[in-house]
Amino acid sequence: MIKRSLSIALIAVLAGCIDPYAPKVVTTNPDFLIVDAFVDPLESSGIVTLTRSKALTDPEDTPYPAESGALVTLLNSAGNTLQTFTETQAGVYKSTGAPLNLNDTYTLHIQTANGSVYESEATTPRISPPIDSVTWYGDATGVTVQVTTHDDTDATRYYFWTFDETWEYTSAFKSIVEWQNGTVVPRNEDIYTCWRTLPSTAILIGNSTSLEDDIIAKQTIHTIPKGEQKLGIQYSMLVKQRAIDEKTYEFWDLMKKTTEEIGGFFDPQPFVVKGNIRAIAGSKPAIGLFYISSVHEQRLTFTYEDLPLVTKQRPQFDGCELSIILNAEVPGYRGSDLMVTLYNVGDFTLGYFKAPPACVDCRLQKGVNTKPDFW
Amino acid sequence: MKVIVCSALVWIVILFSISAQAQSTRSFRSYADDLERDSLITLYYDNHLLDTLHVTIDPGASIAHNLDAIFLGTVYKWSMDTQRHIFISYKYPVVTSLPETFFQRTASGTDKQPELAHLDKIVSEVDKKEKTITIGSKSKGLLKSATISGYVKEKATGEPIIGCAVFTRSPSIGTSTDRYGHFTITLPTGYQEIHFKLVGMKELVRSVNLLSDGGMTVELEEEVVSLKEVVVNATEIESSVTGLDIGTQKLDIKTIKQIPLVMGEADILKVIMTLPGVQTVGEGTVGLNVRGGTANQNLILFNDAIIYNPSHLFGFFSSFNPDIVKNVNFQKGGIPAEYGGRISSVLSIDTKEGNQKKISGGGGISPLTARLSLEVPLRKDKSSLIIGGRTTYSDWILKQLSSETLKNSRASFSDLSVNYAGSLGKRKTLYLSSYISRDQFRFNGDTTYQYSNMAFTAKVKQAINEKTFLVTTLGYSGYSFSVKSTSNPVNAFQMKYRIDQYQVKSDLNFFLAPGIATQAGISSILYNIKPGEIQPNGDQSSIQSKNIQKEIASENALYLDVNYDINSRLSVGAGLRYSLYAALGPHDEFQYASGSPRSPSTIQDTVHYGSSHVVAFYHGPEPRLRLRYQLPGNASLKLSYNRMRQYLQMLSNTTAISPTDIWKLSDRYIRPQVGDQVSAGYYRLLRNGLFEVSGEVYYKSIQQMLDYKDGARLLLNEHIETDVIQSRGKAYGVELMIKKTRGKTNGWISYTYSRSFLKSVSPYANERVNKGTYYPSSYDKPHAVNFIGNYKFNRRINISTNVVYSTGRPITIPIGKYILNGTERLLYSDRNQYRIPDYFRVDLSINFEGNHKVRKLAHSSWSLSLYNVTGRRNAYSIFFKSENGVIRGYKLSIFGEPIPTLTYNFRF
Repeated sequence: MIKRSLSIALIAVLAGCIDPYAPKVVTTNPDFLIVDAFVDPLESSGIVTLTRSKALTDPEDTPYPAESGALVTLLNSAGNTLQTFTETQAGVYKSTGAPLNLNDTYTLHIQTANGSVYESEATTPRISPPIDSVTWYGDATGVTVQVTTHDDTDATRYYFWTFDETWEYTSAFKSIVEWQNGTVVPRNEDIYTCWRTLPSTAILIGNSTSLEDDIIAKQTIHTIPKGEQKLGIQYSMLVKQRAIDEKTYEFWDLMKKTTEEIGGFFDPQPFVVKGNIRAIAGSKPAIGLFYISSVHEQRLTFTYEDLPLVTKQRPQFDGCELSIILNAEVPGYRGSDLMVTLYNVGDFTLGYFKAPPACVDCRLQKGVNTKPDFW
Repeated sequence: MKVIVCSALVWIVILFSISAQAQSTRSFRSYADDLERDSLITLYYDNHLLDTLHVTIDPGASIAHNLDAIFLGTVYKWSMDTQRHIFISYKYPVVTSLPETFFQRTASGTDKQPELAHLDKIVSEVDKKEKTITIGSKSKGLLKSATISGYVKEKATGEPIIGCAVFTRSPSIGTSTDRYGHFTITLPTGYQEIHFKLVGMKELVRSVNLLSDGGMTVELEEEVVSLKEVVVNATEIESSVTGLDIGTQKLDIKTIKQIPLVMGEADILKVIMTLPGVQTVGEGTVGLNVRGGTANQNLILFNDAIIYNPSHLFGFFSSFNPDIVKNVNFQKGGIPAEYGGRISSVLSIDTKEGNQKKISGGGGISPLTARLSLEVPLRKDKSSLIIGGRTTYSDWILKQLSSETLKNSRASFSDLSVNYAGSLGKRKTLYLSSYISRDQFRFNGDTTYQYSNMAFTAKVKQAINEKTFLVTTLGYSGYSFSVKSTSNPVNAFQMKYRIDQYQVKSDLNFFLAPGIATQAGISSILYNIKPGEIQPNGDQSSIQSKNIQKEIASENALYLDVNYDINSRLSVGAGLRYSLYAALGPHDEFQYASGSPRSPSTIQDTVHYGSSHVVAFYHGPEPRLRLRYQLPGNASLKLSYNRMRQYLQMLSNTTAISPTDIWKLSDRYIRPQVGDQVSAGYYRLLRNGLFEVSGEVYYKSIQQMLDYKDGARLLLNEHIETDVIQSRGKAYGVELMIKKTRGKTNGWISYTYSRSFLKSVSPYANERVNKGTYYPSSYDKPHAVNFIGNYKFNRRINISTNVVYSTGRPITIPIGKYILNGTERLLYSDRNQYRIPDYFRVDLSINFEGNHKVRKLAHSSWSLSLYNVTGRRNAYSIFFKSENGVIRGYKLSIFGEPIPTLTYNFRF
């Protein structure tokens, strides 16, 4: 990284430049099977997600095709099928079963609907130590979340984290009335307060191999910029820690490297990260990872009031203004605005305040209006 | 003494426009005109007498041959003097030099002289030196041939002249002076005209009467107008056809200095890059990829000492001060047995020995650098010292920049070389050479990189007798780098790398018999590498210190190389080098589980080797063969084969050479590289040497080349063998070149078609790059065209241009996208399946010389160069970035604009 920045600096001195470049369009889909497979050996629950790659030129908003109808099984080293996964939604396969033998090795077997066969390398279960703490601090830029853990047995060394973050937010205006068949009636459902949950997307890995003890001290796993909706009311994060082996660590590490910018002066060449899933003769290639690890979770929760003064900044509702609609206009209204409340002058209701839906219905900002269990 | 020319000759010097030279019958006059235009010959003849003469010319044959044919059976005679004046006379030939016994004979009055009437022209006074000298004595009896061992030096400075062609035209026998100015040539006894020729020097022709073995010393004068000609391949024209060398380019510093360059510095390596068969991954790097080899397969020698990192400032400058460099010899094929240790090429740089007569020097100032050199005679005609230094003021420039980031950045370099040459008695010469370079750069006040080369040699050249020379060299070469980071106290560290190499070698040159030149030698190298050491920097730092174990090895070699002229047409050079390599303890060697790929998780045991115990032993023969067959009509065909073994390799998985690339010795797991190359060449002189045409083809195969696993970590890796993939390389190509070596306009154009591939050799499928098939190397650029042209307006102004085209280098690009762990990611193609756009660049430079008074305090010149005239934004690399969920491609160019540079050079 430093090397790259350095060279770019020199290029700047030497009138170097970076221009957009559209190479000869690669329009065909290389059609790789993408496997994201994980099994918890203690609960013996597993989730396998199968998707397919897209062509580079495919539009952003088209979903990645799910690989449906595959037969996914977990085998032990003796070749016995322990679990068969069932497809709970397109491309997502789940299973439950008896806890795994921690000293055995396991293989994931996939047979797609079109007959291609894939197999993972034999994988040993790993047990994650508990998370010591998930901490946060706020400064002028926002909130930083850090995780601390250790393994007294020095056995873990490589760690992998994921998290789900959930936050409470509101829409700009609380609506108490709504249209119903051309008339205005009181609103029963609360669409003002919502909760939104997002999984982590960055690759969060850490290792203690350069340290004498197997300690991860305050490793940053997430940052939230100040003023974001996430920090507006209450924020909660469920951190899941898994122990991984060196190979899995390398996979994620390589995956990180290829996602970073490549092509600078001293940067290594980009490459295909293949993982531990291989295609059996004749099948289209696959990329992906199968790993078995127990999960340790810890939840962190804080509210807006907990934030230090420098971090406090209420989220803005851009473009949200109330407008008035008079009673007479109500029956003929064909717009999309939602009713917010009554427009009263004295005791007379002359009409209603309305606002664009995004300013009224919090669900339109991808949240749900049912409070999560842990809230 | 005057030579008087007889008969009614009218001399005419004609400069006509070019007309095609046909083999059909034509007038003598048109032939004569062509001759004068195409060579340095002047003809003297009476046009009235010869205007009816029609001649048939064989364009492939020599001038002498043609003239003989023309005048055979006529009443005309022809002769040529040492100044290349051809006199055509009636009945009697013009006497161009006096017989040695002239005085005695005229005194006795017995000799009959041609009539010296009708005096039309008095040919200039012949220099005393040019009279016939007698070598050897008759007392040895009548010999068929004898060997002359001689020494060629520069008249003004007493410096030896390297690479000077020494040859006779009839019979066609040639050699050139070695790196010490010595030559040995075996000629038929009797009267011979020996030519001494080198670009930039006045050609000298010596008439000798060779009786038996003997010696001679010749002094050549520099041509006062040094910029008269740029001869591209400063190899003497004749020798490129008649010599045994194949795939060899000799460049003298004048050639190098004339090629337009970025940032105003004459740069040896950049000139080498313009030669056919040499590629580089991009601008701003000095990594040479010679005939499909990697950048670390080149033996780069500075006065016989290996230089590990020949670049300054990320590779924008080469490490060699052009002012003290005398000449450069670059061999990419037919490498003699004298050289070993690297597979692709030998680049040998020799410095001047220093002026032995008076103090002199030179220097130059350009926007980024300044250089100075000084030559000091210590004892007149006996010993001298030459000192050259260079530094940059880029630090100062960075400080002037408005960007805070750049203001806090530093980049500086310097190099210094001190060389001594002095005679130790009549037959011995001592040479001492030293070289130190240092680079430092820091980005935004954070991480500081520093690297340094060091090289010292002490060499004694001894003439045991006329036919035997012994050169003994003691040398040291070192390279080290360090990286220091201080910005974050918790992560502050200091990292070091160092390689030391000690060498002793002896080379013996001797002449067994006429036409057989032999070289034999022995060399021994001791390597000592500290592959990496990291330490915390400061008390707060939590960096764990780590010290990768030392590597020690010895590399020994014996060689014998024989050049044998079987007859005047066929010459053979055959050599054998036998190298032996031992990696030595103390050493801890990891043992890996058999039957699975080597990885840290398959380490089963560690074996300890004690001090001086042999850890790994490799040895093998390295045969070399060169063959030349002289074809009729100034052409020749050459063949060569060579095998090279390389025990020391550079680990680098970046595109360009980076300062943190490390050198690694072969051990049990990293096996030595072995390269075989077969090449053939055809060389031909056209129009009496005005044009030289050559074509070479080669095929090369390399075993145990290194490639790297995806995302390999090379620094501070205790088990590097788990991150490398042994690969096989193959390369082949055709190199075509046409040169015009003389005249107001000169230069060369070359076209190269070359391919270079790698293939992973691993028993494990997942270790094989691109499924174990051959894939293009990162420097595989099939088509390359280079043009270098010079035009001389007058003696003070000349203009030169440089045009470069090549296919873009291979890259790996994204071919699809997928989602994993909730994020969109790129799916890359197989390695090196796509290419960056083609490369094209034009450079121009104008040189203005000061006035040409021979005697003045200092000579100066200005050089204005414009790099990348068209401002084309040549891609250095292509990269893809995901921005707000959209994948975009970008092209990085280094020099996106024309870059003008003005340089002031001086010498005194």
